Amino acid sequence: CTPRVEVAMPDKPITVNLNVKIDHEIRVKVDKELEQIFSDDSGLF
Amino acid sequence: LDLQGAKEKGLVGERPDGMVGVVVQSAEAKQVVKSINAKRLQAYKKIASKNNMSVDQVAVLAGEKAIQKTPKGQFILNGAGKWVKK
Amino acid sequence: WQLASLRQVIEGSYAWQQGLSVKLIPGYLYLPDMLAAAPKYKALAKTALTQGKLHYQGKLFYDFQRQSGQASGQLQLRELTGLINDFAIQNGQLSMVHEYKIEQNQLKTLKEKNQLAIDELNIGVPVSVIKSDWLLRQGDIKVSQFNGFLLGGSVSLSDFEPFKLGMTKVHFAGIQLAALMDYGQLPGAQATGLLDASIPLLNETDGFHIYDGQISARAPGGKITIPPSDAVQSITSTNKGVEFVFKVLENLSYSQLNGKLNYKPSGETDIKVSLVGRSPQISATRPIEFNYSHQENLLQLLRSLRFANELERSLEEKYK
Repeated sequence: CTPRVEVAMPDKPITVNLNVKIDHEIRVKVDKELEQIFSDDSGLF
Repeated sequence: LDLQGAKEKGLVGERPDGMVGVVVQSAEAKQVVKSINAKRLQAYKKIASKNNMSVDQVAVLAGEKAIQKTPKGQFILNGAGKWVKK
Repeated sequence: WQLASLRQVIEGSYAWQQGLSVKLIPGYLYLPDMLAAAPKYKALAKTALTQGKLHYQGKLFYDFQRQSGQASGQLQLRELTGLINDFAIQNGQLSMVHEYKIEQNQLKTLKEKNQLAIDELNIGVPVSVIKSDWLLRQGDIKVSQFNGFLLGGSVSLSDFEPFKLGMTKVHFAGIQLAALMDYGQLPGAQATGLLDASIPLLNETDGFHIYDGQISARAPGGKITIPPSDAVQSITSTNKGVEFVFKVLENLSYSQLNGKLNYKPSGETDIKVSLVGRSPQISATRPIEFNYSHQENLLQLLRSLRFANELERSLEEKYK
């Protein structure tokens, strides 16, 4: 029998994407929220 | 007696841990402190979870701000744990 | 003669022989006291030194007839420790040794050696064993050599002139992917593999830029394992299509990792990395191509890390 040359198709890669966006305004945000808590009409200050 | 009045009368003062404390012992002052601190803790918890910080971290920031905003003549708890007039 | 200010006294002597000779009596200044007595500048708002001695000595001789002479001086800063603004510094040493010759009223540098060494400088990320040599040229600083250790690896650069426009190559070697993963704060996340980077730092009129800094993992690559957790759950539940990505990341061995880093003066940083590898729990035969893009303001990240350190310190002091 004639030798059968089999070119193994390289397996198609599985493509995975992950996009991360990080926002660092924590101190500013917390500061604003605390300002509200200690505002005149909150009754908490 | 509300918080503002209690502070002006020098019965209650701000602490570095973001809570208010009794300066002059009285049932009325204790009541004001108890109810205000409960509400403040609720508010700190909400902020903490929204910004994934610990309640402790928010409370320390709140304390810093509260003491900073305290007008002259009202009481604050100093680093040595003593009530002093700002 | 004496100069007293900021609670310190600097003494010296001068004499007239053939020319003027001025001598600074060796002594030292205790920086924490000096700083406490100094007026409060906004820039030094958070600065609080706990240790630091500045030793000094120097002399000058000038012959008026021959209009020549020589001058030499030494500044040695020892054990500088504390906060400079919100940068925590641990045991900084500064040494400046200068010798000059004066001929026809021209000042010629005979010897100039300036070195700065710091055990640890925390800019949000701790950088340790910092060593740097630099030269002073008409008020401009030229850093001839700088190196330090961070994130399990090292950083180095040479011939960097901070106040001059132009490009300087910054080299990162052997940065541990595990150290970077820690900042993701995903419980139980593990990673292996070392990253090298060659970053062209461009000083332009509007500040520092980085265009296409090269990042790559050293052979043979490494492995990333991020087990399921509440943190992962909250990410996958709020972002569509991310579920499968974290399935892959539960166990991803990578043989190649290459990427690019871009940075703007505002601090905005954009990293694009692609990994080639395998996830046995996804497919035994098909390879995985994992493209990761990360956008974050590096300056704000470092500031919020320093802020977290500061909170830690104030909490520690409170509950000591």
